[in-house]
Amino acid sequence: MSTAVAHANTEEHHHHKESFISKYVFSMDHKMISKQFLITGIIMGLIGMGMSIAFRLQLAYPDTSFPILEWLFGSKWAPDGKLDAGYYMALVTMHGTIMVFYVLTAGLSGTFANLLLPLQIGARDMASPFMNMLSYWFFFLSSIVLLSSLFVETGPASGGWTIYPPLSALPKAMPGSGMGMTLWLVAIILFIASSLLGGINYISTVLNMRTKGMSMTRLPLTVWALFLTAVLGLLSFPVLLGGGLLLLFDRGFGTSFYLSDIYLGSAGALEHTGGSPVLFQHLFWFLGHPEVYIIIMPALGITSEVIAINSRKPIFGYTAMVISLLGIAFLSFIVWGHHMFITGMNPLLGAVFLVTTLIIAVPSAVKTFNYLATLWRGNIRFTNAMMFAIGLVSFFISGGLTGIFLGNATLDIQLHDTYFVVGHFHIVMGCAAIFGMLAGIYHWFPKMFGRMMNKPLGYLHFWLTFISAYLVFFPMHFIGLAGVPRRYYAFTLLPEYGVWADVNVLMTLAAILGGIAQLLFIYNFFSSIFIGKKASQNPWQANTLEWTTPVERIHGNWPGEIPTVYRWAYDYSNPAYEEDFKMQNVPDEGQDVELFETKKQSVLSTNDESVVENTNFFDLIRNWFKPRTA
Amino acid sequence: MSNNFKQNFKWLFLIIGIFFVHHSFAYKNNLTRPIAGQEGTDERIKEGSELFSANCASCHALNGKVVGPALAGLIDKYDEDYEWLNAWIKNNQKLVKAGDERALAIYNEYNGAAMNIFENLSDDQITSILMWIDNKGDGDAPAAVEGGEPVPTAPINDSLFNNVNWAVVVMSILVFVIILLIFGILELVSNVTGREIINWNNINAYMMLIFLIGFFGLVLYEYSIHKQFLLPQSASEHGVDMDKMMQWTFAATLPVFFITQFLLFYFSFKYRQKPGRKAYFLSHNNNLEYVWTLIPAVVLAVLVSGGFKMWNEILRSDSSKNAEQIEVFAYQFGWNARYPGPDGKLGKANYNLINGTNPLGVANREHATALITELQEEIVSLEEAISRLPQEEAKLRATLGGLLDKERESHLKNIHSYTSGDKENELRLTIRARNTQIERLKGALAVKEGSMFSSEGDDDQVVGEIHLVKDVPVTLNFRARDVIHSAYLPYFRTQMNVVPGLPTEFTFKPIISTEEMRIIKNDPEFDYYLVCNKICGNAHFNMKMKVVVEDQKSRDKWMNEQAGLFVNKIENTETENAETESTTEKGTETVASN
Repeated sequence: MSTAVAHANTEEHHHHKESFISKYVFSMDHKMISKQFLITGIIMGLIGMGMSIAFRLQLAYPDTSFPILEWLFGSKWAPDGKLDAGYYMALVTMHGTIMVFYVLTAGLSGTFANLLLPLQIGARDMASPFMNMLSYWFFFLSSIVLLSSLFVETGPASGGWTIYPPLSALPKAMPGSGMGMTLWLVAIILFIASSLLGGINYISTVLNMRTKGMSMTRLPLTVWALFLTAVLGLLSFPVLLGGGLLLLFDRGFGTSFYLSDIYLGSAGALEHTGGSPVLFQHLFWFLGHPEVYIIIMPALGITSEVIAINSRKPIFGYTAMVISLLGIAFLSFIVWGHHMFITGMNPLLGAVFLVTTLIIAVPSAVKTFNYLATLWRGNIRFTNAMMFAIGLVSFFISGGLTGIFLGNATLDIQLHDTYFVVGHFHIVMGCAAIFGMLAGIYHWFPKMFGRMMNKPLGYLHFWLTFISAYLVFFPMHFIGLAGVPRRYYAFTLLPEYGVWADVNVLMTLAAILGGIAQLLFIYNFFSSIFIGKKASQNPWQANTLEWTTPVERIHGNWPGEIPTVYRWAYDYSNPAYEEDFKMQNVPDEGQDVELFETKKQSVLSTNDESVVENTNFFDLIRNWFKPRTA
Repeated sequence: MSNNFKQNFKWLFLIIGIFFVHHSFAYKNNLTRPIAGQEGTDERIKEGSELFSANCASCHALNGKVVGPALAGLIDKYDEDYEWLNAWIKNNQKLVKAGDERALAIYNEYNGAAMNIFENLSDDQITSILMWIDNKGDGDAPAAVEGGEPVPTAPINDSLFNNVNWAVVVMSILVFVIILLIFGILELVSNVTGREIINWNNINAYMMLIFLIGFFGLVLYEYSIHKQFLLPQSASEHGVDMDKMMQWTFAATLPVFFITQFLLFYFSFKYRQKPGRKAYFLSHNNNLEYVWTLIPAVVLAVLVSGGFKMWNEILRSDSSKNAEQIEVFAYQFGWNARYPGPDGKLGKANYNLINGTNPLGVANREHATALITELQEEIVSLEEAISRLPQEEAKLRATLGGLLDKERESHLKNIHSYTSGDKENELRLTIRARNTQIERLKGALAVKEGSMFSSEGDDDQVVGEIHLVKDVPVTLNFRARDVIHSAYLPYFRTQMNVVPGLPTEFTFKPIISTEEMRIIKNDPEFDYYLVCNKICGNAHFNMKMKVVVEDQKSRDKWMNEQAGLFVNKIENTETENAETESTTEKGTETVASN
């Protein structure tokens, strides 16, 4: 560790003129890559949101013609302005894929891991800037492949974002299982490559490149969250890669990993025998569940930071926050079966997953209570970021509690695949993570672009989004409790679904309102890049290291030496100091020799190196979490 | 109720000024005419309507494409060629393979997604369906059709969007721009003067409070409106217990929801920034952490143990041993059920045995033998089709000259599938699959001990409805034909995926009959349904099967009316069985000699 720090310190600054291509396109500067991730993510987000409005129109007004849909999708997919049943499925599938992978995984952790890891731990760049650049371009390529599937003749993948075979494995089972499905798989394989390149980089950066004094216990919670997210991704994405490759084999090369005993109306009895569709579900959800936490953990990390800064209080229970993140990260690998209670999996397994699933609610609850305790007796500044962070906590509560219903296998028999599930995961994972992402954008916009965003517009954006998100997703719990299945093109199957027609109209109008609110954000974001007020160096009076860098955002981050860290990241309103914040790089009086250095020297003087390098694992952990002296 | 709800959200309608145009469709009015030489009667049309909703409605509507094309005007489209229509409906794939032009045109238009086979329908039944289509194809039937009557669709306020005029749209855009302008100016002024003109902090703090009240208010309001629809009366025994668990879970979570949301927004309001205030420095308190780790842990432990116990009772108990056994079969896009018939035993079944006359692939020697012959004939016709390919290609090339744009494009694509060898490849793969199927069938037929072929399946009744006896436990044994489906019976608190290649089951005991539920719900039209709840293709939203719960007597009466699969009359079971056995022996001999 010390050699890495030393190396970073002695690194020379290269002052050569960069070309447009090397500065803005194939940039290896982590700050530029984070902007690339963010803007690609925003564009994908807009596409995904537009799709959701299109299919919500179908759900609310099944008999009305919308010429705009025909104009958008063509007369094949929306004849007479009415969405085709197959294309409805395709839009639902693409919406899910885009939002889960392209916006909330790459757009969220890609942006903030790139921006914050080097800046907050005090490093000049990522461990491997080149791999970092590759990570973005794999992601970009993957987005292009995915979007190109919208233009193939049989339409994009339409078997749901979970692409369960045999539906997705048999090109003849539905139009969307043709070329569109192949492109989907190729896109996801590229995406996984991007995610792994990024993940390895984030992990090695955090472990090796922390500045002097930045022990693991002094890391801001954003870094902890992004670090553990990268670990989750690194361990789980390869499983989906394997599952996807096997699916490609089943589709093209006649293997039978997931296929058995199938008679297809259009092809007769198939030769495949011996495979199991449930195997794919296991492989998929072994990624799929950690994926949920890959999405929400960076958002929780951002929220921890934003709430602490704007309450002008230390985050309550830093150690408990880290332990609960570790707990969530560990448990997220042993709960995937709760997506599969009634898929024909052995009921004994269902019982096991029921237990692990409800255990994971405990660390989540701890996090929520800690947020509330942080707000308590704070001095709350409602910056735009703070509003979204509070919104996240509200969503996390609402959506987390409905998870207790769904995690209970017994209740899942009734609620599985109903609108209750749609409401649950859109609130706890969709809205909460998007709010975390927006909080992050509003908070670190000055760091990214050197300017401030328009505050009143941000407030309007928040309130419209917050209200419309609840109006869209909260009623879904009621619909689901009444036993209405999800992924239905129209509510015509049973007369009793007619009751929900009004609610469907309300939800669609709210979705449109939410869409308009995002336009406000888009305007605010892009106009502020050019005409926003110039930012000061530390506009939020925050403690972390990124606010010690100059506003101009230079390559290498700090013009001189990398600052040394003398304290944890949350010394807000500490009565020992006059100001209500104390930055991490400011020493106390008499604290000119860093603790880390002294310890190392004293250890070295005893001439017993093994104590430093090979302290036993538990000592190491204890060291990480030992209480701080203020 | 519904109007109230709508009125309260009128402001939403006003905010959103989007221009919607309502299209109305005009349909040709057909007169009743003789179909296939037969005069239509009300009874025939009614029969046709019932057959349509049982067989066709999941993929076809009269107006508008669902999975297959719209059927209104079908008879005129094919120039009253009833013979062709009959052949197409019975086995469209035969026509396609024989190279029929009209059949190929449809096949190509739908990218090779073929229609299901309906060899189980008689000529007269098909004529009845056509009569109904001809009579009803005047445009007022919605997508799903139930017993000839349109399903009541939700009342929709179309006028809302018809009457939106451009003034509203322009107004909305103006409001939008004005907001941007005002906010821009506000920012500008505060940037220049360095002071906030408006105390946003206070405004947002109060908004938090208002939101809290509005949020709770709306949650309670919606609950008050919709509570009667939530978790409808459970009609199964385990469902009653499950509902109790649901209530306990609500009891555990709702207080947490209200308290934590209240604290979140109340703290945000109460501790808003004020001049001269300093936050209270509090970095941690381990006792508090223990408290709010342990309390959720204990509450969840209670819920876990309850859920664990009940899950084991419902899914892992051996109650299925004493239960009535019914097979539920799912396919794109519909459901079938199979009853064991008078012998009380479900015959074995296999997907290799599926064809038009045996949609569930129930094992029967005679049928298997006939199927082998059928498959061998198919292989011959496929080989012929391969030899015809060069001619077809030449024909396509010859007609290419006169075509324009889109037609030319699809023509070229078509030709490409010939030159690239895709077409031949596909046919050869089909031949290989048929050969494998024949091998498998022969292998199964040759098995002496523990053969799947027995007379158990001969009297099985394949039906399109489930009839259950009240208070008698029943096990639904699920089997899928093509992709994963999910059998969802919300009133019975029952759901299980139906997976190809993986048998699944669910046992429950219905405790409320259909009649009783009609009284409880005060709805004389009410019926239980089994619906599909796992995405399975384009007509996923249109897949259901009626479930009737009645007393033993009326169930027996219904069951007696159902024909056995390989025996026509239940009274003659024994003699039929004897005959089948003798023919089966012959069948085996022929197979062996082959």
